[in-house]
Amino acid sequence: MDITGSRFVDPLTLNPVRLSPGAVAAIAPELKPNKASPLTTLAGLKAAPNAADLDTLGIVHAGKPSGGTAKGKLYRQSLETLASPEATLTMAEVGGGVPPLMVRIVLGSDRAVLADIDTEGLSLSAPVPYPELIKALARHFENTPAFAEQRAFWPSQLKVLTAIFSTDAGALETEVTADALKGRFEKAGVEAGEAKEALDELQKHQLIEAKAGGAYALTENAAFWLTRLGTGQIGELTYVMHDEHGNSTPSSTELRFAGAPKDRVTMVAVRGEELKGLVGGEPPEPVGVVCQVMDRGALSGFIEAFLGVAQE
Amino acid sequence: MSSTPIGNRPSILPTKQQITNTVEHIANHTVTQALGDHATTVADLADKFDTAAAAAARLARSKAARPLVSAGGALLEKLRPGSFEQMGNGLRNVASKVGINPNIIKTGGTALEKTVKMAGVAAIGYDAIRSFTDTKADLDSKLVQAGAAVAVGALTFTGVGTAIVAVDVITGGGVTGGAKGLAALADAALTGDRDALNSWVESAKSGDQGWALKALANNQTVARVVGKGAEAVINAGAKAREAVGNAVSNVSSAISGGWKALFG
Repeated sequence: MDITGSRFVDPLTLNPVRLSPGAVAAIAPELKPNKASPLTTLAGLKAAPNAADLDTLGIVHAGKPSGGTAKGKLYRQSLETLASPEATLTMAEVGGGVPPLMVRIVLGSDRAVLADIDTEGLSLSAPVPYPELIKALARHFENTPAFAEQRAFWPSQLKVLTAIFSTDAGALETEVTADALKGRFEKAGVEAGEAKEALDELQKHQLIEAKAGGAYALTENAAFWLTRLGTGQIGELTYVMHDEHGNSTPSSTELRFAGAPKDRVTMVAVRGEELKGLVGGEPPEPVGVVCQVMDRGALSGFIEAFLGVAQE
Repeated sequence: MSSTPIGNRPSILPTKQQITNTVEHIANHTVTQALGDHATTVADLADKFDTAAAAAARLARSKAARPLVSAGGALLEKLRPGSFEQMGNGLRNVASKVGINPNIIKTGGTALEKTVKMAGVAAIGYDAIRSFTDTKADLDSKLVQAGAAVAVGALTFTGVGTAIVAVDVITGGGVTGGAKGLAALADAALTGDRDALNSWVESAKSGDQGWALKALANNQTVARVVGKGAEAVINAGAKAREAVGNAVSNVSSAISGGWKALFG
């Protein structure tokens, strides 16, 4: 019986739990985990089966097929999802003065399960319905209410812009004096001719504009994106799909967010054939970064499509 | 709200098609279309092209016509023509000389040396792991991102060099690759051989970084296994060690942090 939506147990009110390697060894054979499953990796520890943790949590298993609890049924569903992952989403976040965060979210059978493994065993959450996950992701990565026209950047553009608009202390400034600019190019070993060529190109691309006295400023649009990058707070979603044998798609897809909470912008790195298609030929660099800002509704739709769980 | 299970599928094509259809559905949705048209009409009729109305129109259109990324990696968004500019060599030449890279760190002048000391851990940690990757041809370039992760982690307490490092993360292998690389380094140290690391590298090449069994290892073991590059990190000072430690230990405690961030 599927009780994910039970009014008696809301999975979102249940804390994540830990199972010992022995508990995983006790239940894994009946779940038949494939090679994309964290249970398979844990089996590599060759722990002796020990169902104590399963019994404590009320999770039914072949050794004790009755007596489970409602909570235990939810955690059992989580284990079933982990045994046969259909996709794995990794959420990571760094910067902003908070400890780095990275968590795996396994998707399958209409459920999302947060999971992590280490030599002490398996940590797992209760199963979360996809709509709840999408809602939570869209809330967490909420974009800024401010608006700027979408912008595509080449890495070279971003590298040069951040280099010349970053102070010696590393902070990003939106305008740089002629003296400071000269100094920054010199420190990097960039000759005057090269520097002028680069500045001209940035100006031609409407990323910077000349000011009085040889100073330069980021254009309003460039400053919009660069100041978010300047926070150093980067969130990332990485997505890999698996077939029924646990074989993974040949490459992951990534979605990134830069900026402080509620002031983020969405950044998508484009590579390969997609980039060729956008450029209309061989791209000058192997990756391009498309920046845009979305309201929460649009972001939810974007994440749904990203995960392939779009609403019917 | 109902949703469609991903389903175990041997091919990603049906999903890509599904996503394409969804994108088109969103783009063609009458409400969003109407919102965009209405906002545009208001702005046009007023003949002022009021800034706020124009912004609202653009925003409404963005809801409809933007996105998206497919699970297979295709960017389905209808970008405007010329979104990516043609680039000359000048900018690329300069780009190769700027940002955080070992050459700048090693050859910088007095002012830059001061910067590096201030930015400190970020640069040192980055340099160390990049040196490591540079000297190990069998390692995937994504390991470079381990350095970036260290750097960004370090920035949480130095607060400098932020944008430069962030660009490296955004345009490179990203946060996840870096953090997983660190976990793999720790695994390699724990097991005393390179199997875990090599296994991670193999899976990382295909975009799937797999499930690594994480465990913190002591610094001496790390140094023994991963060699010169990690020694440099370890010798860089207490902050560098803290940066590496933070990154790895937070990976291992990820689930509590992730749950709190999303549902807490």
